[in-house]
Amino acid sequence: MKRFWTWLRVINPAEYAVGVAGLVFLTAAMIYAVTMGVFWAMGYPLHSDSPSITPSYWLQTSRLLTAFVSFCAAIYGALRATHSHPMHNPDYYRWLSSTPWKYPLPLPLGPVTLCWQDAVCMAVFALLVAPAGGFFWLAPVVFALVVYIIITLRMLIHGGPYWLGYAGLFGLAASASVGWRVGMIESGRVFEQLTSYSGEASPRTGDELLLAVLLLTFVALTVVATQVGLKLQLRRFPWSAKVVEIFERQTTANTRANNTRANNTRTTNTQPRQFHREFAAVGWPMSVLNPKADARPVYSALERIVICSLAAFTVFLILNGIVAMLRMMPDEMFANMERRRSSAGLFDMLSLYFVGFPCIGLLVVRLIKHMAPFASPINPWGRLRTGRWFIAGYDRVFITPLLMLATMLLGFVATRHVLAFVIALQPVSASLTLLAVALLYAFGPPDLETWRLTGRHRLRSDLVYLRKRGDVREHFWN
Amino acid sequence: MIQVEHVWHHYGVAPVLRDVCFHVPQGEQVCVIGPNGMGKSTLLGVLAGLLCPVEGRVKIDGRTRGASPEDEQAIRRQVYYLPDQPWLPSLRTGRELLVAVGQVYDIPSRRLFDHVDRLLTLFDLQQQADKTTSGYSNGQKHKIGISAALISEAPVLLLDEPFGGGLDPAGILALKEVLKRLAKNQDITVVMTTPVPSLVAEVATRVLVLREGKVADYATPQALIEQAGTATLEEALQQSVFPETVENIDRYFRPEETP
Repeated sequence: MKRFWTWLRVINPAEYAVGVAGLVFLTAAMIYAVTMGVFWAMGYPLHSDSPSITPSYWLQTSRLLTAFVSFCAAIYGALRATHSHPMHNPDYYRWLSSTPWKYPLPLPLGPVTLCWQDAVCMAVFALLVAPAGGFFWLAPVVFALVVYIIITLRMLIHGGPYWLGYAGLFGLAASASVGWRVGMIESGRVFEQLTSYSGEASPRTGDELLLAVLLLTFVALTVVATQVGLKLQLRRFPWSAKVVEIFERQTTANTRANNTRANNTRTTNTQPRQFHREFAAVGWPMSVLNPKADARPVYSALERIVICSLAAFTVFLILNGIVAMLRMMPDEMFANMERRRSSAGLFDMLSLYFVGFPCIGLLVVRLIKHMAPFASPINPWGRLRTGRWFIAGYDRVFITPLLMLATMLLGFVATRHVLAFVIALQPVSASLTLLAVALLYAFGPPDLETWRLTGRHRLRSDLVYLRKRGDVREHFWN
Repeated sequence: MIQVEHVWHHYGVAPVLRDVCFHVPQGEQVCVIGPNGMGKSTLLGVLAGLLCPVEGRVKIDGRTRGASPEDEQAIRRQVYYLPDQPWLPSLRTGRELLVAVGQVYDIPSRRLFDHVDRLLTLFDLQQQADKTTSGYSNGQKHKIGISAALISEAPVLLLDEPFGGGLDPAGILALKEVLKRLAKNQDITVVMTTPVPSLVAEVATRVLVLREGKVADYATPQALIEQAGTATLEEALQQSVFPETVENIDRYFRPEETP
C-alpha cells in the first residue's frame, strides 16, 4: 500500500489539494446521505428503474453528487496542468534553469504530461459518480480532461510549439461540435419518447456510430496534440525571454492582486521582478504618457489570423451541425409550420447568436479600446457650433467600426436572402462574415499603438476618478 | 528645445488658447503666469501631449509631437509632466512608485536607489516611504509627485503648479533650490505654471504671461521690470497680469463707489 501511495504521489498537485478535494467530496457525500435518509424515512424507494416514480429522488441527488465530483475533477485538471509546469511558477523556472535538468529527465515536481496515475485518479472520480447510472461516470473525466487541455493549449500557444497549440484548439472545437451533435441526437430521441412520436425512422440511426467514432478521433487527436506539444516544449527548455516574460507578467499581476488584501504598511520589495513590465503602475498621467507603455497587440499577425479563423471555424461547425440536424429531422417534427420557414427562422436566430452578437461585441470592444481613454479634442457641442464637424485626425477612428458594421450587414443580407435557398451554404456565409469582421477588428486602421501616439485626441482623466480605489488606469494599460 | 507654433485650442465654443507662439531654449526655466482659467494648464497639457491642439504644433528637441510614433516616443522619453493633481496608484508605497518611475526612464538601479533615498530625505518623507500612498496627506502626495518628476532625470520637466498642492515651506524651499541647481548644473529645461508672482522672481529665467489665452508677455524677469518701470518683478507682474486687482481692492473698501 505504501508503495502504491508513493507511486501515486508523483502527480499530487499540491499538499493541500487532496485535502480540499476530500473535504468537498465529504460535504457532498454528507448532503447526499442526509437527503437519502430523509427520503427513506418518508417512505420513498431509494432505487427504482420504474419511470412511475416521479420525481426520481435517487437520480436527482446522485446527479448533485456528480456535479460536486465533476467540480473536483475540473480543479484536479487545472492543478495537473499548472502545478508542475515551470512556466506557471517563475521561481521554479529560475531554479530549474540553474540546474543541469534537460528533457527527458523527470521533472522534479512531477510530470506535466498525462500518465497512468492520472488514469487511476480518473477511475476514482468515475467510481464516485457511478451510482448516478448511465453515462454520468464520464462527466468528471470529461471535466478534468477539458480543463487540462484548455490550460495546456494556452501554454502551447504562448510558449510554443504554436502550431500544435492551434491545432489542438481546432481539435477541441471539432470535438465540441461533434459532441454537441451527439447530445442533440440523444435529446431528440428522448423527445421522441416523450411525445410518443410514431413517424418513420429517422436517418440519424446510421450516423450515430460515425459521429461517435469522429468524436473519439477528435478527442484523441487533441490529447495527442497536447502531449506531443508539452514534450516538444520541454525539449526547448530553457525558453526564450519573451515566453518567460509573458508568464512572469501574469504572476506579478497575481502578486499585486494579493497585495490588495495586505495591510496598509508593508515591507517594500525592490526586487526587479516585482516591477518587471509593471511600468503602467506609475500613476496618472504617467501611465498614459509613459515612454514604455505599449499598446501593440500581444499576438503576431499570423497568430491573429489563426485565432480569427479558429473562431469562424468553430461557428461554422456549430451552424453546420444545426443545419445537418434540421435536414435529418422528419417533416412531422415541424408540426403545423412549414419546414423551410421554421428552419430559416431557427437559422436566423442562431446566426444572430453565433455571428451577430459576437460581431457587435467586437465592434463595441474596438470602440471602447480606442475611444474610452482618447476623447475628441473638442466636445460635440463645440464641434457643432464651430463648424468643425469633421476632424480628420480624430474621426479616422470610426473608419474600421463602420467597415465592420457594413461587412456584418452585408453578410447577413447575403446569408438571409441570396443564399436562402442554398441552405448548405448558409453556415459558410455566416462564418465568413464573422471571419471578415474579426479580421477587420484585428487589423483595421488605426491600430491602438499608432492611435495612442499619433491620434489628434485628448486623453481623458475623468476615468481615473470613477473609482477611488479602482486603479482603473493601471489595469486598462496592463 | 521647445518650440510652440501658432497653437489654438478650445474644448467647447470659447477658445482657451489663441495663437500661442514661443520658444524655450535648453536649460531655461520658464514660468507661465496668468489669472485662473486663462489656459495655463491647457498649455502645459498641450506641451505634455495630453491633448492635441485644434491648430498649431509643438516641437521638442526638433521633433513634432504626434507626427509619427517614433517622434512621439522619442519626445516622451525626454519629457516628464506633473499635473496639478497627479493621481498616484493607491496600492503602491511611495518608494515603490519612485523606483517604478525610475525604471520607466531607464535609470541604472544603483543610481536609482540612491537617488530615491536622497529625494525621500530631501522632502522629509522617510517615515512615509514604505506606506501605501492611499494614507498620504495632500502635501505628502504632492511631494511624492515632485520626487517622481525629479527621479525621472528627464531633460524637460513640465510642472503644473509645483508650489501648490499643500506643499509646506520646507518643501517649497527645497523645490526652489533643486530647480535652480538643476537648471544651472544639468541644463534641464523646466516649464512650470504658478498663480503666485512672488515665487516667479526666485525660480524663473523667463516669464510667460498668459492673458485670455494669448501670450501677453514673454521675456526675462529683468526685461519685464524695465518694461513696466517698477522696482520689483512682483510689481511688474501685478501690472501685467492683474492690472485691475489693486483698483478692485480699493473699490472693495469704498462700497459707495461700486457701480
